[in-house]
Amino acid sequence: MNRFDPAHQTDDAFDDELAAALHEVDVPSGLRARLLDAVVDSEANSGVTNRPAADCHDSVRLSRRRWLSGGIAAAIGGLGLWGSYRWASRSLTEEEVWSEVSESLLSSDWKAFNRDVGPPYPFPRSMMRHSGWQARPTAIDNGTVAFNLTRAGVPAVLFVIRTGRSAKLPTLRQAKPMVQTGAAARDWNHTAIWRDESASYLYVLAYDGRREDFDRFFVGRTVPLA
Amino acid sequence: MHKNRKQPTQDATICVSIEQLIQQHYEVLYRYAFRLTGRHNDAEDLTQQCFLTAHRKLSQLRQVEAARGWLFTILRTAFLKLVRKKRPHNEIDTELPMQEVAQEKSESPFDLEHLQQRLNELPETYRIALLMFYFEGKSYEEIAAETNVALGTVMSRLSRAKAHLRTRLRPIEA
Repeated sequence: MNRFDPAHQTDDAFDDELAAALHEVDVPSGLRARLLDAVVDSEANSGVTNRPAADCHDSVRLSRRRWLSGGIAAAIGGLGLWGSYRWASRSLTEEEVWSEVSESLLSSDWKAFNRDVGPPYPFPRSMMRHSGWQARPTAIDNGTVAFNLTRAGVPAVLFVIRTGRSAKLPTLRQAKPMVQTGAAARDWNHTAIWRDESASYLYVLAYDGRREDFDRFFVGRTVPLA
Repeated sequence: MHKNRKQPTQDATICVSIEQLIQQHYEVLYRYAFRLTGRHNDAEDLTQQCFLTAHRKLSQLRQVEAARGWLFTILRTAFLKLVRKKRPHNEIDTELPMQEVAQEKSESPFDLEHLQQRLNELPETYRIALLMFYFEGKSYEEIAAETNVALGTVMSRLSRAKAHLRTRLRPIEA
């Protein structure tokens, strides 16, 4: 379309008007304060302080309210460089494990894995001994590989997370994984989580369907993953 | 292992807190969230979820200048995840029926009052493409890359979404 064509100019005018109109939304009063409160509350519940951008030598900015709210493990590591919590010395809490899985799910950096190279983190062999499990790696994001997992046609997702920290979680050789369901499972209906013996990997099986179908992933073994 | 993340340069020292990000971007994030969800309560929930996620992933923000785009991406991802939990996956890719797309164009200024209603009628994939183009100012190529769809698909969706709005936003009476 010729840019001097009246129809084109009308098209441009519509574009400009629409772009402007999309921004014409009233913002509720008090929203900023509520958002800040939500951040403070999340820190209080998780025990994780505000992590500044990497290499930031200006210490974590803490608001007076954050100190007053209490229960925040702000003293962990002191002020100063925090870096990736994944490589800190203390064990991952359950909250941090779920936070990591949620981050992976919401990440914008998921890439299809390279079939020529293969996934960087292997599907644990001991899990393959579960009857009927079939796994196919599908995506990679930074430190996590997602496997599409099926058993008897029922699909689930297994996240294999590389970590240098231990976690107080059942190992692959123990009787049962830690199972969460409902709201405790965060973004999924049901989740099961283990760690490997070497504390190098965390495994999170996530499933959105019915509980009875979820339980069938573990049917047939008294020691599920030994 | 494939890592596509940029490595920080030695002088890439940024110090930004979540408070600063909220202060600077909460209004535009909320407006975008409202255009995505069509409801004020949902928009506020989505905006909050966005900032909570940003708070956890703050160490991944390498350039302060890129903060707004980074937050927009988190917001869109959270919105799609919300939609997928509410509906089966195959509904996410619902196409805009061809018969809904009229051929004639309106040359009059449109009625903004019903803009959100018309936006809500669009499938999520069309709405997101439209907002990425008009709200974020992204190019067709950028939209195609970020949404992982073909360039032609983006152009088609934008064209049809725009036509849908043009024919349904009533012109202002003279």
